[in-house]
Amino acid sequence: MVQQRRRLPRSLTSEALRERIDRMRATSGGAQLFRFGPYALLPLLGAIAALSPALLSTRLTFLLILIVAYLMMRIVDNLYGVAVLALALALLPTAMDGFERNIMFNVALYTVLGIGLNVVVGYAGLLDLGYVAFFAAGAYLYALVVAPDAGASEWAQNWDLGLTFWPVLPLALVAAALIGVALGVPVLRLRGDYLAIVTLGFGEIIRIMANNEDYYTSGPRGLFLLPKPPFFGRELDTAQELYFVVLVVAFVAVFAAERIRDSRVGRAWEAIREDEDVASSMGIDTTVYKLLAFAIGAAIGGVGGVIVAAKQGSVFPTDFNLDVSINVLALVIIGGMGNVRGILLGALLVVGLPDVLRDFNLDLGFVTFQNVGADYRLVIFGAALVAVMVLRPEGLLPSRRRAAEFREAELLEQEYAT
Amino acid sequence: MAILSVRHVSRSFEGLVALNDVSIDVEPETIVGVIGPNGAGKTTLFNILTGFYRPTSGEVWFLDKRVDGLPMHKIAAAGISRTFQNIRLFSNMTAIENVLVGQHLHLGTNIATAVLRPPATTRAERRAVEQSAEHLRFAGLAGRENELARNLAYGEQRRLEIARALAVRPRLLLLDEPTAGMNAGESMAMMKLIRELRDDLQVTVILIEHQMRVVMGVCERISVLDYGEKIAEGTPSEVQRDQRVIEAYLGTGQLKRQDAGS
Ligand SMILES: Nc1ncnc2c1ncn2[C@@H]1O[C@H](COP(=O)(O)OP(=O)(O)O)[C@@H](O)[C@H]1O
Ligand SMILES: [Mg+2]
Repeated sequence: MVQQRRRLPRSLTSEALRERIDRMRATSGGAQLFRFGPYALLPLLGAIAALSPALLSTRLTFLLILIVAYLMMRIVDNLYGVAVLALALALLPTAMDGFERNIMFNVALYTVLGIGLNVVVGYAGLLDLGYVAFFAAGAYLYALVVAPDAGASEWAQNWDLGLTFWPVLPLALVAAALIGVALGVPVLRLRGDYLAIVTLGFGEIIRIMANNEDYYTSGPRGLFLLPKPPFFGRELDTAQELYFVVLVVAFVAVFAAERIRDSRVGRAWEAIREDEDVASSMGIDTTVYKLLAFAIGAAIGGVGGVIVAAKQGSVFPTDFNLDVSINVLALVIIGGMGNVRGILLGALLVVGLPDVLRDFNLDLGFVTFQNVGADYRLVIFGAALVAVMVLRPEGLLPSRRRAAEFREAELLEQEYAT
Repeated sequence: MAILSVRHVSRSFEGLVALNDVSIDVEPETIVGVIGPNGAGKTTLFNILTGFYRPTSGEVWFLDKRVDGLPMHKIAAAGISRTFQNIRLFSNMTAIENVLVGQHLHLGTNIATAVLRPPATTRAERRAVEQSAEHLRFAGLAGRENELARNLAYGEQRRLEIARALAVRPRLLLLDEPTAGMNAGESMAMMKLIRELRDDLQVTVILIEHQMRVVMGVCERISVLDYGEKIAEGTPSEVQRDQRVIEAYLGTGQLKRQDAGS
């Protein structure tokens, strides 16, 4: 068992070791990339995009997107996979009507939010039920500084900053990160349920502030007539153009989140999640790293807020109800916590599906039920969520690690039960 | 000059005195044993040295710096690292990932370099992986790099804890019952590993140990705790003859633990 071991050599050259390291890399992170998958899927996607308006019902198109996205998500680590996925997601709205484009926009937006929340919940293991706060902060920041004319609050009229969408994006990133740290400092000592409750309260406080700080936010009357993002002398105003914006942001967020996860920072979060005390005894400043998770999650949420404010052209306190936090958390959990790939799937299901079901009619041949979707879509949606949680409690595409943690927890429960 | 100086350290838990005015000096590159019956305060001493607990009174000096009361990660950075009596690995991470976490202090990757991955970062991360593999090899875990920590055999888990602690690059390594639950062969291998820690890596080692064969075999000096007090100190043969030590071990006249519980 114990073999010859001498002083640690400075560098390693052994072939066998390199092989082992490569094998390790292949089984982690870079995971199950099948190299030719992307090429095979490319014509398929082209076909769907080209033919779907003519041959398929638009709702069927959505289902196909779901399936293709699922396949894509398994290969998104791969550079080709990313490129193809980007192309596919960019092309798909051309085959869609305005309503569907709107759905795709929301799916992409919630993917961004999911990635942000996942940094906090999935990576660092901190349950945050008030994520909407950062989303709201970004949206209101945009509404306040882009200098609208008619729909502005008193404050915005007094302080005509005249910024546009693009500089506000990084501004919101930084501002939301700072708010994340400000929230993080007092709550860091809390764990589990307590943290969840305090963050829940924080989310509500931000919404109530938006309602009451009339001078800044115009209260429930909201801020409107907000400008769209300028783009080479014109404005990006169609749903499709804004969809591209959020798509690019989503890709940057996925890219950043995955790289951070696979670095020293991601390992530190993972260690904290597993055993906080031991993590600090390994030299990890757990306070700093938890704050970092809060800050990054918040920053991504803030960017999402800017985008949604620009798209809607308005912000109202009611845009930032508790259900935003719940939906984002739901999609992270449904998709499979800790896994960026699962999040897109979660967003498709949690954000896309209820709207797709909206004008679904059930045709049984002898009898047709009109408006089944409109009337029962939330029932169907709820049933789907329950089904997922019963059949795959670890989520649809959990990270390898989360799946392992989940099995461990189950085993423990069984042990206690017997 | 002592590398570690424990000065009049006491610690009580709501009236229960777990450590009472304990002073120990440890010379660099020695292997020191801490022995004593269950509940004597041995683990509590380790917890104070590593910042898990603050002492109620007294001071801890390490490399001429006062370290008691410092947060755990600062103590790790100062060069003290440990293993745990009840194994505390990151159980859902692989063996090599556990060791990579131990390298935290020696990698500079931050958010920006993690995202942008400049060549220097890629090189540093790769070097960290290779070094971690080497730590694993040193601890006798070559070939087990990609195993989840919780799937490792018990003895392997103890070794992985040592590999992970080594990755912190400590000057002082605290081993809490490294041979607990091991058979004779495994214990022998562990003794060999402990000697190599000192001989090859120049790490100062303090170990808590119940198996007298191990204590007498590897330790150059021994401190004996009983009910939170240091009742004896010296070379193995001195301690073995010490009347108070013999009494503490239930008057058996033998320096051997009676109860085999953990
Ligand atoms: N966190 C704690 N809270 C209360 N009592 C503790 C705590 N840690 C240790 N003790 C008590 O201190 C005494 C010494 O424990 P310990 O240092 O673990 O002994 P050992 O020598 O067996 O390692 C025991 O009586 C134990 O119950
Ligand atoms: Mg103990």
